Amino acid sequence: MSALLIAPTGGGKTLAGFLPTLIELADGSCEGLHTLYVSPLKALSANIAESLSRPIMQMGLPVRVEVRSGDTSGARRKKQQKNPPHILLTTPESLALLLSYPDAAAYFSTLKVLIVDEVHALAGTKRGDQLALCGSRLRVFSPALRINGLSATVAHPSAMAAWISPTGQSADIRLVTAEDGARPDVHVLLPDQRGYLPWAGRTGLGSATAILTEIARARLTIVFVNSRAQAELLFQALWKDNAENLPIGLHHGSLDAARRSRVEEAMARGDLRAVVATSSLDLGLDWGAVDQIIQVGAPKQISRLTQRIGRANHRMDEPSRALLAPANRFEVLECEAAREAVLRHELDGNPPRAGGLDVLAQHVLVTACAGPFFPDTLYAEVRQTAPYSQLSRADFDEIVRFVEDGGYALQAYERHQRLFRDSLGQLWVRNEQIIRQCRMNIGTIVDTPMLRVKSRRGKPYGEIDEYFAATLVPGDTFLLGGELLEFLGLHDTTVQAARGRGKDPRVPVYGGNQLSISPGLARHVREILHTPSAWDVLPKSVQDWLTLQTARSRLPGPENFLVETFPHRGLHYIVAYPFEGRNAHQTMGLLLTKRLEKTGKGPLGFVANDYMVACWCVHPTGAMTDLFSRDLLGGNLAEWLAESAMLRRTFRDVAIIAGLVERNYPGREKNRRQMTISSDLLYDVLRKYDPDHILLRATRLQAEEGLTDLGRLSSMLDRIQGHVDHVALSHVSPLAVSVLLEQGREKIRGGEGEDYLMAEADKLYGLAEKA
Amino acid sequence: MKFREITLAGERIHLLPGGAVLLPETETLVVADLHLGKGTSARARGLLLPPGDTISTLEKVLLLIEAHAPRLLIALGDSFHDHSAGKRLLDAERALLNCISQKVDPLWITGNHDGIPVSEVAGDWLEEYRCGDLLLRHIPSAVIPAGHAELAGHLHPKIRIRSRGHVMSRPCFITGEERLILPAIGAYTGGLDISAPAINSLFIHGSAAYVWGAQDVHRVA
Repeated sequence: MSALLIAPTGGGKTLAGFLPTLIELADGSCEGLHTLYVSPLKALSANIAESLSRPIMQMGLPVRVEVRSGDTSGARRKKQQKNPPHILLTTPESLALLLSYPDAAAYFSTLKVLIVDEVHALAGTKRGDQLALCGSRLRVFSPALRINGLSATVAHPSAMAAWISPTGQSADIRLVTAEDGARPDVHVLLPDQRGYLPWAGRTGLGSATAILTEIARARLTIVFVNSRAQAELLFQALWKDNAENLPIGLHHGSLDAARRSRVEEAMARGDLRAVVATSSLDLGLDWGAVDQIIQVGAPKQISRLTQRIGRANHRMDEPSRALLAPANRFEVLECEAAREAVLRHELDGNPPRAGGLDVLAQHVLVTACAGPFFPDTLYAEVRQTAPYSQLSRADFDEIVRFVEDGGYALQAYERHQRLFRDSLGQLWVRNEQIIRQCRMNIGTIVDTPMLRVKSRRGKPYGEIDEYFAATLVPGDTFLLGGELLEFLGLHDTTVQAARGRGKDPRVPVYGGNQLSISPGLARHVREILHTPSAWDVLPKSVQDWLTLQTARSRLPGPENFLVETFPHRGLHYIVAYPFEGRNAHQTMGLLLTKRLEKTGKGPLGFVANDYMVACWCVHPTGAMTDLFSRDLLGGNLAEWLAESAMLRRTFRDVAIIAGLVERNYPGREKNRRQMTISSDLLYDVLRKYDPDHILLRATRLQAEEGLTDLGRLSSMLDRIQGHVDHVALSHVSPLAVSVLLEQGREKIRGGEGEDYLMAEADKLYGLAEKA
Repeated sequence: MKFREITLAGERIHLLPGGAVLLPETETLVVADLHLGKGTSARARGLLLPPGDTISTLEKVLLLIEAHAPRLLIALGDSFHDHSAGKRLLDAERALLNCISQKVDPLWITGNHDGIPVSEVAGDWLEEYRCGDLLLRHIPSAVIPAGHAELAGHLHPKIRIRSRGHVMSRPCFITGEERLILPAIGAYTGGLDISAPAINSLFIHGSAAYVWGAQDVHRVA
């Protein structure tokens, strides 16, 4: 029977997953591939291979273990193909690639066990959708296949069981749950004796000294941060202060594999006292005996924090020690709230959502690459997986048609289709070129496009995020690799820059998913805010900050719905404090800007965090009671959402994953520059002539997951009627500062606000010419 | 809709919202870089892009014609994305092209994408067209004879504007003393920032850039 093992981090569950396999393989009677292990990290596969080899060697078992990932050489792949190992360790992407070859059926026919590691990190993601679909193929080749899932502690264990189940039903899975370890020991770590905390910012560099002191006290510490940029900066800040020369390492996903494994080995040997790490150390084996973890910056999700804390329990019966170091004033409140939630054993996170239609499209083409298929059979197969158990036949057929000929309402030139049907009704790939193109595009991770930064003479400086580059205008300066550069212009896919001088350079932000804290936590933060008697536990700078807010504006409370308005840098701002979590606030930002556009206020954008939402307009914003009235929800939200930058971004990912456009690989652009069409342009044309196209539907479904349902917002609007507490300020309030520095601003394009700015620029030219 | 008037080589030129140009003396409408058939041009390679771009572009041109009732339509080159684009035209696209050629005489300037005339469409094909002292070509030339000015396309100029902290990127007209480069009008055409050397080097004596909003044409640089 298939099984799901749920155990806290550090429980040694991964190796437990291999035990049945080793027992079955011990007598040497098995031929061919026996066990396939899939994990989200290719580095993890290499680690596991090593850890498995040890007992296999020691016991002299006749078992061969190999890794298959994007880094595996062509020669090695050929060898694995001809002479399969008993155990193959791989990733969802490499598995999909293996399944695109015609000999996949023979290769996997001997397979007995599929081990899925870190189920909690895969279920409910597009990579998870892909893996689930691949799993359904494997069961066709090997009907008796057993599946063993391994997961960290999660909020929805039976949904996880259903997710790995071969039938999509949790009843068919044996659920094994390990006991929780001892209650962790969690404290909030403040920057220094004076307890000064910055207004905003997420790096926590001010806490470097305090962190060093804590590192010195323990034998081995993992310092967890939330982004690669933060890891780099904090690592430098720690070393700057590191008078005792404590050996401190750095570990994140952008470092090359060799450097990462050197750090891991040093940890295991006990040569390091601390490692600054991103989520790259969230998953996988334990490296060394970790005494404590320090989470720098907002912990955001309770489940993730609990997993990170688990890294410090090398002995299940001893409490894990964890310190939470807030990076700004709001994060102090959040750390307090998170600390309490962890101690209450709360877990957050949603059950896995339905599978993406874009991933399904990729799977259909991958399947066709391996050999012809009958749509009826493939539909039945796909429905066996939990993510697609509710997939309608109509949606499936539309996806198949999309793969076949694009599925457009406009009948395009017939001759070029990707699939053709034979007289039996089987679908075949039309030619080798399409197979090659499909294999190049396998995978569901869409990286933020990076642009190379070069000097005028072509000397490379490094790379920056395309979205960051889009905010630069000639003359701006920014930091890259420790150099101050001046932005000269954007040419094709290269940023031209020169060494520059000047103050206030900008620091490139690199995209990445922003985690949203659970709504429960956000409300807890509000409780702390409006209960001055609870402020005693807060550092003085935070208390002063809240007192200042009381003096300048008001505190958001349970009774009033605080809305502040103020002018700032030539624009008119509205900041509201619903404390409903980022997703709800994103939706609210969309609604507010829609309303403001309709009433001619010229909104230019909005930004949300877990506590508040801010919008800005070129014109004064009018009465707030009107803006926040019940009919805020009226009008055509779908239409406005479709115009939003959010949907355009989602479409870009969907278009790449579904195979509508090709991925941009470095070095691949040059000969294809003619064909690189911005996904925005494709989106506009598709919306205009094919509003019901399946990829647009896929895009909407996906974007709506990131937004809160209108039902919840509507009940909130009911609640706040008569309680809107509008404070008109002459400048930004102490609480509002943090949202203005928030990343992830959404712009409103092509509206009245932009028209006004252009007309204003024109007027200035007119005046200049007269003068 | 309001236009913006500029003068080049003594000729009045109207910059229109939408990215086209009207020469009022001769009732000539000029558009650049339509790239018809771009959406279907990669189908052979297995890329099945939404095919509506050609219709979208043609509808835009038709609207301009209906709004300004010109006598002559000049497409400044790269009107078709490749030589076989004419053969891939759908019925609806052909109907739109017919509708355009019934209202106005089209004149196709050859471009680098459509150097060989596309025989499926009505109208004459020329490498260059003269309208008084105005020279109309696809690729801007380095040197323009004295007393003349040039209208060209090819470069797809775009501009980034920052105002009050808000950045926008828009296709634009860019003009200097002796030349005007039109924005690309095709639905699938991208753009090149006017700070790029390919554009910048053509305007060593200064330039003015115009963008358009819902109603007006604005000078923004």
